[in-house]
Amino acid sequence: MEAVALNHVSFRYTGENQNSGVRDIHLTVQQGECVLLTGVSGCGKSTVLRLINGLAPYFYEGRLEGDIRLMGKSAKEIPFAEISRVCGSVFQNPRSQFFYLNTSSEMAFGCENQGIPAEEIRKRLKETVQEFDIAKLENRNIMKLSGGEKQKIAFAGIYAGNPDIYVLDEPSANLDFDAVRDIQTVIRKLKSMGKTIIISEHRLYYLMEIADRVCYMKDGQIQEEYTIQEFRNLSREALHERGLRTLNYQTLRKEAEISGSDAENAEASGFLELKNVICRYDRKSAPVVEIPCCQIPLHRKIAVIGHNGAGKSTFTDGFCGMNVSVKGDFLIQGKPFPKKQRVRECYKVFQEVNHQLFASSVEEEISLGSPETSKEKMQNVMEILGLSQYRDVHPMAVSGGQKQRIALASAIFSGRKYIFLDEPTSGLDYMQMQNVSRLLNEVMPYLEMMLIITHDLEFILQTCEEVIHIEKGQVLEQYSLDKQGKERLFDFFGEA
Amino acid sequence: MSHLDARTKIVCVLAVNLIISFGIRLSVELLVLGAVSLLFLINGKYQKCLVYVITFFLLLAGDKFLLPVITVRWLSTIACLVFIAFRKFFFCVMTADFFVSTTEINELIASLEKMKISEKLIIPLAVLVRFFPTVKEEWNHIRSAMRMRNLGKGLEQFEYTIVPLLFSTMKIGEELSAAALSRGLGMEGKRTNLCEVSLKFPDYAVMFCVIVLTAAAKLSGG
Repeated sequence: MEAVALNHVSFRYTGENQNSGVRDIHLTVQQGECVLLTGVSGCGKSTVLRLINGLAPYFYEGRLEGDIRLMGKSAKEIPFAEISRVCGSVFQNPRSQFFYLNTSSEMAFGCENQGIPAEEIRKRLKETVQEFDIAKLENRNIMKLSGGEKQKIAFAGIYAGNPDIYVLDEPSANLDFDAVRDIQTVIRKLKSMGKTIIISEHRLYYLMEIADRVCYMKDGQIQEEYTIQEFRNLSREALHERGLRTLNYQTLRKEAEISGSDAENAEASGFLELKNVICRYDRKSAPVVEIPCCQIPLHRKIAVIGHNGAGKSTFTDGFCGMNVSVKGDFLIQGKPFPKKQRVRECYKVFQEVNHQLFASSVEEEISLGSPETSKEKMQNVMEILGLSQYRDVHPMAVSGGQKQRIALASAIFSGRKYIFLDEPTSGLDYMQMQNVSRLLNEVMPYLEMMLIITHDLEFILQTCEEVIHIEKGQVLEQYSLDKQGKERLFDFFGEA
Repeated sequence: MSHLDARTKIVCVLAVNLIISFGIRLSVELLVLGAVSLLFLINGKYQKCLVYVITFFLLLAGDKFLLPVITVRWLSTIACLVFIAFRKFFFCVMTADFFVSTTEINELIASLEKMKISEKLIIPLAVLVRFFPTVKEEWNHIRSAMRMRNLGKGLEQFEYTIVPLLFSTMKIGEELSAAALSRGLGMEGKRTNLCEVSLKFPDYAVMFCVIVLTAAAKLSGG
């Protein structure tokens, strides 16, 4: 039976973004099938999902044409609130899809809305917890869970409501690879139970064993349809032409072996030395990171890798002097680099870059909080980063990539030379990832040091020259990305 | 642990606000402080309680010892505002905090349903309460970003925090609504609530005390 059928469906959002939306979508998904929608950002993937779960046009208003059928029934005949009985949705942002703050209440939320008797809900919750093996997440404060754990709760909540169709909108966008593996397990399980799954993603590798079919979307249309076999046989070039990420890490590995010897063995032009550095959350708590001795080469793009909770953020925040209590010596070329100076010269670009843009124009944003006032330098910085045309635009009105640019511009303008980036490529398609890579290359000559916390193997291979691997609060290993280094990097991502 | 019903807590919040509006004397202030502290302690919020008590006595000390010494006019105006006006307001904040920090959202919904309040009112209210911790989380992120940029002195601080806070909470609010709707919030028919609430002896006891206290404050002061 057809679980989902979209017949010549077009949708256009009302309001400002007239161009977004989808045109003439023709998609049928059989019961028990898993269909992957992919394509560059803004191609209309999310809109298709919203049409299926009814949020468009019920919540996101617009003009809908064509016929949508869910489990054989026309969507027009199902009141919006009833759709949740047949179709459950998981969204990309783990922070903003919970109604309650307690995990167990949250898992019951969908069932409660359906008016299922309390006894039955309790029974279902018990089954759900067993099925997903999440006993240790019961009765917890959702705000205190990691992103991956939150996504698991989201899945569990949908599962408890027992819909036939699962609509997943980039569920891995904000997750590190450990968490991605976890939700991979969950999705595989749903598939094995015969659930129908429609999922949109940029990160493709974790779905290659699960999806049956792939729809490639562009400019609001489904341009190509592949069986998973055909899709997996696409060359890397073919994928990149379409703006898509590499499908699996073996491909990256093979490619690295072929191009193997392009290692840049340039001598590092100086070091930043750490001695007996200890970072804690606050003065009383136990040490989170302990680094007896470590040399960080200057003028290089360094990837900071490690499993979830290894202490990567604690370490970089401690370095910048943000919120974390730090003890120990930092030395540049043998000269001390005390906290006071670090606070002035370090800068962190957040994963959620919106949190660090305050002003009402790009120019004001760049100069904000900076002792520098030179007009010339401003001109210069904006030119380097290609922001001149945006000078009077509101920083919130530009794309995510531009926001990163603005954040880096303000760092450079205020003379900050030690830059930290937190997951700059999470949730990005191949093209956007390349743009970030290019951006970092552009700004590197103006900086002393760049540390990038990341789980993005493709991005590391393309961008970084050095890797620091942190595990359990310690620097486990450190290597430059020559042939041997790449082997070690692959080993890390292979086992992970 | 004795767990109070949300209805009892609402009565507490209303009573404290009433008592404040009577214009109270020190003895009543201390009594209210004692009563609300007791509520905090019963619920195991020791640290929070301590912070409030210390804050209160600092404000009181400022009023009693610092205020008489200040002779500069504008300074004494500010001091009055902080030590006296804020101290009145203080109790409202303290009680409201007790209400919000000890009430789960489903409890609140269940209690309001028992009061036969329309779902049209309950759901937005629940969403509002749900939103506080999110706003706080966002606020913390933004503040640490500001510290890093060396921003934020005086009024500037407020201005710069508000813009990103508005944008991010707006976005989160939209996503939150979409998620809740997609899970069938507002579906026709009776909603189940797993959380069962009822008024028990402690509730009646607390309500009784609160009413007596309010009446006493009114008769003695008002």
